[in-house]
Amino acid sequence: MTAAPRTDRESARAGRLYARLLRAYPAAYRARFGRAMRETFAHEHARLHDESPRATRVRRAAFWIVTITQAVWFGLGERLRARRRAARGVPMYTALPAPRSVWARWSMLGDARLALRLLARQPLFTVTAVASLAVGLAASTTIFSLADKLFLSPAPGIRDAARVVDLERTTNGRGFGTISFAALQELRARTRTLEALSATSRSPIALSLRVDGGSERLYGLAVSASYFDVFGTRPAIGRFFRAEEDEAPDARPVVVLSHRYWRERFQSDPGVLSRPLHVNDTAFDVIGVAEPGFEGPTFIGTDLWLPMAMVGTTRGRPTAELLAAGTDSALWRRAVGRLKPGVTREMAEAELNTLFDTLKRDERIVPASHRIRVLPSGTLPAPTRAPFAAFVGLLLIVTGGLLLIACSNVAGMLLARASTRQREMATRLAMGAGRGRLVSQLLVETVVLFALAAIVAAPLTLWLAQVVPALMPAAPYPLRGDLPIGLRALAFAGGAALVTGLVFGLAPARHALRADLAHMLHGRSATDGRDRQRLRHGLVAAQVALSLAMVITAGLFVRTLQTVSRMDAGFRTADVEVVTLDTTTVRAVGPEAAALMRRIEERLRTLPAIERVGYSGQAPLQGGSFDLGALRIPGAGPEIVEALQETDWDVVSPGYFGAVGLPILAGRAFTPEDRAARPLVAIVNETFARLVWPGQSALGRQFMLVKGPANDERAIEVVGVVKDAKYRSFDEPARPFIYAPFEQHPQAGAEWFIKHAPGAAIGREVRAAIAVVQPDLPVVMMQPFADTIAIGLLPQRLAAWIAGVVGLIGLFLAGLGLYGLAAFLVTQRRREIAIRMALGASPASVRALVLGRAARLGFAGAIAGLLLAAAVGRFIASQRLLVGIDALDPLTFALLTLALGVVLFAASYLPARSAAATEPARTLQAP
Amino acid sequence: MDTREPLKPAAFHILLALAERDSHGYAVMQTVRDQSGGRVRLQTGSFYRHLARLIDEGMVAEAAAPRAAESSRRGTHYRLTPLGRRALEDERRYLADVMAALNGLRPALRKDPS
Repeated sequence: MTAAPRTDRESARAGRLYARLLRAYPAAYRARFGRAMRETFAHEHARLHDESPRATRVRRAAFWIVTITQAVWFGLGERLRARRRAARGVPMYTALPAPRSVWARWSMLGDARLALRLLARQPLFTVTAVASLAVGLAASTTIFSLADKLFLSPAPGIRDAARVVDLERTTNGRGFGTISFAALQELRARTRTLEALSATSRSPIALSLRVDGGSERLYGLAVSASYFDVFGTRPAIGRFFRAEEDEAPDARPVVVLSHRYWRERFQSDPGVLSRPLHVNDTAFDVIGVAEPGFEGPTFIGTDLWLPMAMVGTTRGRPTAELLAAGTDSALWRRAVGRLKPGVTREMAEAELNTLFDTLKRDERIVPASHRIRVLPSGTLPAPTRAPFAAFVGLLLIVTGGLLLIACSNVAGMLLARASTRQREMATRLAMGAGRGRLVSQLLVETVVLFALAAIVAAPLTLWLAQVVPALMPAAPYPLRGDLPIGLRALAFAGGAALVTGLVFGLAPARHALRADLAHMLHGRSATDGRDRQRLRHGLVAAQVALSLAMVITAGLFVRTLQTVSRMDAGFRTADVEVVTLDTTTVRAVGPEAAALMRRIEERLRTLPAIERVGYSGQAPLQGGSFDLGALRIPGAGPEIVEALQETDWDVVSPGYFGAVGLPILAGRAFTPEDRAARPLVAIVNETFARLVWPGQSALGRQFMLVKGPANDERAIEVVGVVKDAKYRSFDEPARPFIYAPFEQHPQAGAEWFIKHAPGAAIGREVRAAIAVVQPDLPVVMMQPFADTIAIGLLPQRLAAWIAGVVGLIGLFLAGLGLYGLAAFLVTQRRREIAIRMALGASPASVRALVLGRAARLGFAGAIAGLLLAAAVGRFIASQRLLVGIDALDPLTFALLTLALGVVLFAASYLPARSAAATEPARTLQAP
Repeated sequence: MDTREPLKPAAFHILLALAERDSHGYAVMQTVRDQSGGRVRLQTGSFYRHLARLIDEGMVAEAAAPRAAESSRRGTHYRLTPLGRRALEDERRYLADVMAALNGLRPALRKDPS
């Protein structure tokens, strides 16, 4: 318990602190005085204690304040002084030659510090290089994360994901069809290759949750009891379904909640297990909550799962009826399974098809043309994998291109630096520095540069990861929208940075070392590095090519969006809100659904802000279609039958045409009189009328609707002709289309089109009005009509945005690269230029010389870029991503090439002007 | 006639302290404080600031440390260079002139009439 050791410790600590404070001083100063100052300080500090053993806190504080202030203030002062002196060339107090340890001499850390100092001395170079690399790295890491999430990583909560498979049905070897529930039951009972097999509804179904005084929308997925076994996931609380809970139809109302929904809706209250949940007017028991993160295998999530035996509640009909063999509704798009250990997908597929074939005896269960395909499970549902892969692949190529441009730009700058530092290198070699040592230093410099870029890229990537999911459109089901920047993406970014750093760092090093010492010391032959020049020229031309290709790609997408926005889909989208309702949530189907819709319409019409209301079975331009049955046109020839293959249908309310702004060209719109008990009527579009009754009036004509297993025919009379519109997608050709009255073919799901006064916000009023009519009917979705239509163009919008940003940055970088190269060449050839001018060359001809060289590079790059752009254009056109323009759209190509020319001219004009300003006398006299 | 500006008090006292004998930093600091009657108080930072200037101007240089182990532990020793001695001599002369002027103008301030 003596005081002495404590004082010792305190002094040691004070000494260390002071050593750190000394870093405020310039290195040369520290080298000279650092040790002495630390010693002196130690005395001073000891004295403080000696003088007043119980040195008051005030004195100690004062001592430290003075010490710290002096160190910082004088340190800065010395730094300024050192810079002023260095600028005037006055030598500073030279450091005493300090013997360095062998370790220090070879330490990479020392190299890294030297590299940092060199970089700090060239802030423009450093900032440009780091910024361009960071943008490239961040963009490619984000896109890689997206690709990782969609294609590479299994969704969270899935164990042994390699054994999880999707079962799809093909027709004559093509497509992703549905498998009937009866067939799945048979397969599940007999399979020996699958450990577990579960049917699931095709996507989450909108449900209504009864809450105090109203309802909330939530989504549920109907699954077999074995669903959770397929994924090997575990409950967070409670349990999953038991087999007996998925047997007797509508007998055991139980649900499992997803962890996200449990957290968001119930604040993770374990008490949910003891309360009934009123979903679609049925009291369900919550038996468990899935583990955090698990919401099924795809990026489409869900709020809860219910057993297939309870699926009737989601459709407003008895389950037994829904799942009966031979009915349309017994088709389930998705089935998932888990392979037994050691079983391959091929083995499972062979076995399942053998079983499937035995089922084909009953044509109601399995038609002969059907086969089963076993696919690896993935975050993207199997049918969407190919188009998404193309899109993400394109993005990866585009961002990879940006990374390449940034890297080649930096490589160009490093090459330029390498040649200006050739003398330094030569001197050091001559003085005995090892070649390996120089290479290691150059490499370390490059790697430090790339490491800095990676550090800047990290927060940028995190920001992009926030922004990209926000670009996702509203969808009629929950999306697992988060974009985790995982280990893989980090490894990708790190690897990309490292590889590019090493590859591009080595090039200058190789050049520096191969060069001839004597020549380099002489300093004149710096221009002779022929292949260095060729390499640099190649890099600049490549940059020009890549960035031109990219801006043209962006331009093609922008032109697509432009064309589409000018393209008249035929609908009025301004001030129209689309509201999705599903009356099965209140068990209203068929005529009941129609009656409920009518009551809601009456209510909505009383709202002052609402001008027109109509509803239909589907929203246009969602990429899908719908039909009521086959057509038979009395007296129609085979060519007409062929042309009508592409006919689509919709069922609409009387107010629909007015609400979406489709004019009736002949005849009448539907009226409330077109009811179930009345003769069937239809309104056809212009194309249908022209195809079937060319040159004649379609009004009053009849055609046959063929329906059901017995091919029952019912006559439909045409009462009106409506203007053509776009139905599935913007780029489709004119398509025959039939509208039938909603009341005569009632649907439980309806899209409401509500035209309101400009600028009016009607969301709350509409919800309130619906709640008055039917308190537990939730609004599934509500969004502006324009947004609904825009979903179809999302890939183009994203691609235009990304390719545009990337292309512009690339163009800027290419300009910078050309500027750097031209300026460098001018500096190097200053003597040659001076001689030319002394011999009578005019400034204009010198300018032309420099511009000519730049133009040659730009021209070569542009040609390559145009070829590349043409290839990319062909590719995106083949993916049907371009609308209304050619893959080689002349306007886009010409305008953007011109823009590139302007940028490149600007980039090379400054060096050219500087070359023309050369004063021969002064340049030639200089040593 | 020397046209240099007069030395700053701290620099003057450092030169004066080193004129007596070569010494290490902390000892010089102590001597300066005693010589100036506590009016010039130097701390490590400010002391080396002045010392660096004096070394820059060639008036002070590092000295070989004395052999005694106890003393060498105290770190780098400093010595006056011939230039430093001359500067101190200039300063002495300058101060003498100042003293003479003081003596002539302000008899009341005289302490010693000789």
